[in-house]
Amino acid sequence: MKTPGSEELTNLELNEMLATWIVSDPSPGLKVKIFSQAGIVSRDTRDFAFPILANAWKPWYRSLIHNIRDLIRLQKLPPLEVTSKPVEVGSIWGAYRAGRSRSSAVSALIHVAVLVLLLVFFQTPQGKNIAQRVTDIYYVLPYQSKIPAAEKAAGGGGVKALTPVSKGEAPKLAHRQFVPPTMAVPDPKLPVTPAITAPAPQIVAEQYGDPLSKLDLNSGGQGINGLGSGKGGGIGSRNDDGYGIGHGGGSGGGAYRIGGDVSAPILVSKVEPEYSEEARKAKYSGEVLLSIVVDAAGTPRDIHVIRPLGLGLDEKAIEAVRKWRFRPGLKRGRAVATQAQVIVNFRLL
Amino acid sequence: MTAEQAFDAHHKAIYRFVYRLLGRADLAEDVTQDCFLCILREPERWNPARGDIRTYLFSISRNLALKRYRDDHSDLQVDQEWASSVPDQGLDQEISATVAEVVGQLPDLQREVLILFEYEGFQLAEIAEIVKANVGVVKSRLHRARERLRRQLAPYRKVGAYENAGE
Repeated sequence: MKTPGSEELTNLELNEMLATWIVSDPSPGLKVKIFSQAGIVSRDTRDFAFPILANAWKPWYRSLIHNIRDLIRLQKLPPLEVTSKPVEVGSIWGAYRAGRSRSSAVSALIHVAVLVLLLVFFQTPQGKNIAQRVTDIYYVLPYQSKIPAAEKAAGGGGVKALTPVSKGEAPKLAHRQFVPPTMAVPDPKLPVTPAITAPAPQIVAEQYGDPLSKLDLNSGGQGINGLGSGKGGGIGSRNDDGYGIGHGGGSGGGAYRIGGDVSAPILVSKVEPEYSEEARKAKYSGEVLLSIVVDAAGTPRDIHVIRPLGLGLDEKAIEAVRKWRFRPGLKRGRAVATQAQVIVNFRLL
Repeated sequence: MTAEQAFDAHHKAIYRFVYRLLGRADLAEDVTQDCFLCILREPERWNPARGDIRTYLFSISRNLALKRYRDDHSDLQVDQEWASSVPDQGLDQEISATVAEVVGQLPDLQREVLILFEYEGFQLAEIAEIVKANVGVVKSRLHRARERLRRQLAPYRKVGAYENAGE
């Protein structure tokens, strides 16, 4: 017999202590849980499992007949007697959360892949055409000349006379103007031949004036300096030292630049440019910058490519723009030829 | 005997046994479930000639529990209230928790033998069948387990037991 306080317990003491460890019963739902799981197993276990389960199993044709009979005439069942208590179960969403990041990423990937496949394979021919149509955004920009100033279309001037400039001799062409051409040249101490700044062939005439004007009384025109209606020292209707209808010195009869009293031409009808086959295959896109002159009838002419795109798109752009029609630019209410730039945008949708 | 009768008769004992082995209520229920599903699905594996259904069930649950124990031994955490379901208050509850802890620290083979013997009242021969060892081995394991418990639980002996022991 062990004494009190000894290092070891007696058998009796140990048994008493061991007896204090009591374990509570399992949850009451355990039986339902187990047998409902076993109920779906196989027909081999049904007799062993549960008499109820044994009855529940029927050959397929009998359950089919039973279902059809139920469909036609529903049998009334006795009121259900609930013997079990509801068991609290965990949230099903919480269980899913564990693998959410990866599985949702995979799900999203699959969705996108299926969508892409559908778009690729079930595209109608019409849909393809739409996808390959081009948008053409055009701008009529103020003309930015790249030609040297001396080569520009020229402008004229005039003296303040009420009658238009009369026909006469074109002034001498010089690179630099000292004396603007006027009708009445005062008696100078050091005569300098009136000249306009333009590298053009000399026309010998007894009188200065507009070679194209009507045969009329001598007149310096309505302008301030020179001949004609402009302000500069030239002849004609512009404001500079040359002749003709442009600005600046020089000769030429080119299109007006937009701005000032020259309004921009307005696009009335346009034709969509086609995509060239090469560019379509190469899925090439970009823009072509064209320089055009819209003449007084509103028709584009003198179409030049300023910034090409290549792959045949430049030609297609020219081809399309040639079919465009404008309301011509106006200068004092009169249709005139105007310079413009057009950007044709090729973009695969 | 149908499976339902077997279940009604033994599932609580199985649950208690596994709970004491593993120390977790959810695992104990899982193992109990697996154990009964086992005989529901393959009833032919139990041969009535070979032994009692009770012994058979305990041997299945013992295997399942050991498997579970080895599978996730690393993250097997003992319930905080392992022994808190004891009805008595105060000292008894404390002793109960200590008993649970000390038994839990026994080597696996000693622990199962001790639990089967002390708590489920099996004979040594039945235990030998359940743990698949011969009776002598079972006996020595049980002896060693009790010896260790006697030593480790000595500081916690009850005052009443003290007096009884002192007479």
